[in-house]
Amino acid sequence: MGKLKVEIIQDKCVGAGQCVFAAPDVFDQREEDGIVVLLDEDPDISKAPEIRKAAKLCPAMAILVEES
Amino acid sequence: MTTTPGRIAIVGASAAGFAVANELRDQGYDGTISLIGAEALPPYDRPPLSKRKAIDIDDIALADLGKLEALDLNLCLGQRAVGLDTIDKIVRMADGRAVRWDACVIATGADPIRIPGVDSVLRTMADAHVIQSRLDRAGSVAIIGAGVLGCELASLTVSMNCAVTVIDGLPGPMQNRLGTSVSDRLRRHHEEAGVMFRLGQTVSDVAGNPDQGYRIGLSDGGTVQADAVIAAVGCRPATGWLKDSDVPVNNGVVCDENCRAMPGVFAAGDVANWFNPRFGRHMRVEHRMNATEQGMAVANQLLARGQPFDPIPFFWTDQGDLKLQVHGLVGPDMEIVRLDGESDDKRFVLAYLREGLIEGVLGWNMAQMLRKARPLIGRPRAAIADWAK
Ligand SMILES: Cc1cc2nc3c(=O)[nH]c(=O)nc-3n(C[C@H](O)[C@H](O)[C@H](O)COP(=O)(O)OP(=O)(O)OC[C@H]3O[C@@H](n4cnc5c(N)ncnc54)[C@H](O)[C@@H]3O)c2cc1C
Ligand code: SF4
Repeated sequence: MGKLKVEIIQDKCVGAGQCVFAAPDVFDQREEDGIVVLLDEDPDISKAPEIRKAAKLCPAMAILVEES
Repeated sequence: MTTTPGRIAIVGASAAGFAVANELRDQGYDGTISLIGAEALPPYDRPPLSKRKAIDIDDIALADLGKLEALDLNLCLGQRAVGLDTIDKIVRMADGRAVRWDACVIATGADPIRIPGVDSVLRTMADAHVIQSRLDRAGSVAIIGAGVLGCELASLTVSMNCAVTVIDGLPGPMQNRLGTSVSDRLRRHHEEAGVMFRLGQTVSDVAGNPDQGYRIGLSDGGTVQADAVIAAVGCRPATGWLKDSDVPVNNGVVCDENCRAMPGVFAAGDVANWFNPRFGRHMRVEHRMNATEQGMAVANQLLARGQPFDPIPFFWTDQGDLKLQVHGLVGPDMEIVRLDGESDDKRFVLAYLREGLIEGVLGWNMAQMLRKARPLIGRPRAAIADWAK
């Protein structure tokens, strides 16, 4: 069974919130400036599709996903 | 059963074109993908170009070289397409070669509009390098155009300690998009940072050069002197290369709700003028998010598992410490209702309504709350009261 590792790059994030629409259990935004926060660093592999979608949609390429 | 095309040619190797190629491989497509781009650089992201100085290509590449290689593309960079033949199904290249296709995606984006006498625009990494080298020696800069790009450049150059003057024919920055009240607020934001405006003025002539500086004549007879001048007056869809083809062009490549211009030919990104069924009209969206989403949508169309493309458009702009974001459609002729915010106007969320229907929401330094307001889009005014609870 594979594992998922998710990493966010807050310096690149533009606060678009697309990741939260795609995977609300994994990503949120800081209230003050909308920058991404990671709710779950090694989420369940079942969430892979929505997390990969978030990474693809992120307009700032601020989300890295590794499946091992 | 529809079969998937064996050879796909994508013209334009930027956000939209790359998204098509990436999504095709992600969905398991194993045919030939040609990705053709006029720029010599591998696909990169444009929004940082107007927001940061001294940008390194590695920081903004859409994919690192390893990932690009893994996509197994016939990558034709630094090569311009000059024609599209939809009968013989070939893309004609500037060097005389022909790239054959079974399906073609037009993703050539948009070209900046130029002003006579002004040699600086900002669309590409190469443009950014030229501007950077000029700003390094400039004490003052004039920016023609107070749209999104002009406003971002104002914030960037003012942070570099330049004296900045922004010139626009409209009465306020981004006025034709945001409406008068938000435009007034935006003007205050920039003036507090030290930006000067010459508004309601069109440029009559520009004289000068990078060594001696520029003199910009305005319609009221006044002038602006500056060491550097940048034109940021918008873009036109890059369709010149299609002029001898039978692809329908009218303010971009005209497509149906499936982003299809004609059998086997699709368009995505800034160049596509497609029918958005959500809003019941054709639209061309010059925003970063749309390029990715539409590119992904087209990839799925190519694999015959696509659906009508009906996104809620989204854009953001960072201007100094201001983060302005918009979901949906906003316009100067729309009614504005305040949804949330602080009394000093440092942060707020607004709804934009047309004929009693919420078509867009805008957040001013309030990204998280804005996200929560997005579901209001498409709802009637009465939905606001429930949302506020
Ligand atoms: C400085 C700047 C800042 C921006 N900031 C924001 C922002 O903050 N928020 C936001 O939402 N959007 C922003 N945008 C807009 C966003 O970058 C665009 O919407 C996006 O780049 C569109 O992608 P695209 O692939 O459709 O077109 P483009 O990025 O324009 O790419 C088209 C590519 O096609 C190539 N091409 C054109 N003609 C040919 C031809 N005949 N043959 C071969 N290749 C060709 C071009 O060289 C280019 O590389 C910004 C744009 C710029 C320039
Ligand atoms: S989608 Fe990307 S830019 Fe937007 S909030 Fe998430 S990480 Fe940040």
